[in-house]
Amino acid sequence: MGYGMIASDRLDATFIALADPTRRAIIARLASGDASVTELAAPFAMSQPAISKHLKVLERAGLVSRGRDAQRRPCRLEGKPLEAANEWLERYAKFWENNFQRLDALLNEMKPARKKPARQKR
Amino acid sequence: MTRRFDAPRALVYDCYTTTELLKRWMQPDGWTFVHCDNDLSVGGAFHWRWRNAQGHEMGIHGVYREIMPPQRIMRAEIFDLDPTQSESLGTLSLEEDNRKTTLTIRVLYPSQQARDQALKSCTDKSVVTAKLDTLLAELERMQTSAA
Repeated sequence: MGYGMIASDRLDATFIALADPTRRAIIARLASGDASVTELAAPFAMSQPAISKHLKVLERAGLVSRGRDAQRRPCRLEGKPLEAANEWLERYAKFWENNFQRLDALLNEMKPARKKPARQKR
Repeated sequence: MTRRFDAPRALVYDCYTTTELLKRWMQPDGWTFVHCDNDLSVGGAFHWRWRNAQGHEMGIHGVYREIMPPQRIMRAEIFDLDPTQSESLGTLSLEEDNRKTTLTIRVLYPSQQARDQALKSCTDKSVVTAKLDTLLAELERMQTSAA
């Protein structure tokens, strides 16, 4: 939980785009360089039109752009939406982890007290 | 969300359910409790609200639905700032083995839209360098821990 300013719709689109294992695998592949639709489809037991559907979701989210080369139209990973999503996740994780670290400290204080109930003040 | 603690679950349970103890750890940096109302009974209401130095407030409120000490609490939750005031179901589960506790929090949203709305209210536009595999790993974890 952490309330900052209202998110862009881009963040919604990013999370929705990433909520699919095939699309996540496409992104992971593009992270190591541009690829054509044929190359992207290769590892999957999936037709090219099916891969293209996934690519459209990624393009609408701004996560993937297509090159202009009419023959090949290579796919490229665009970093900005991922940076925003990563920033959100880091803040969320940090928020909770800070709380949990305080809880660790509190639990540590509580443990010896439980072992000597007669003598310790709480 | 899952987290392990080096303490028996009765202690972790107390820290989640006792107002005085909650105030000692569930205050994010820079935020202090404005309300920490907690009626720990079935049908009892809770309201946890924090304020920061800039005067911004955030909070969560709702009603307890199921209480099974020391292992489980289920409650209806609404974020104060959620414009739709949609209710989600939050479950806290505590499992103990060998005097160590695993805490699991699951939040069930009534619809895709409500979940996206909740996601929407928690961000700003600043940008940092992305670590792709960290992000993907976090998403896998979020998917398995959010029902």
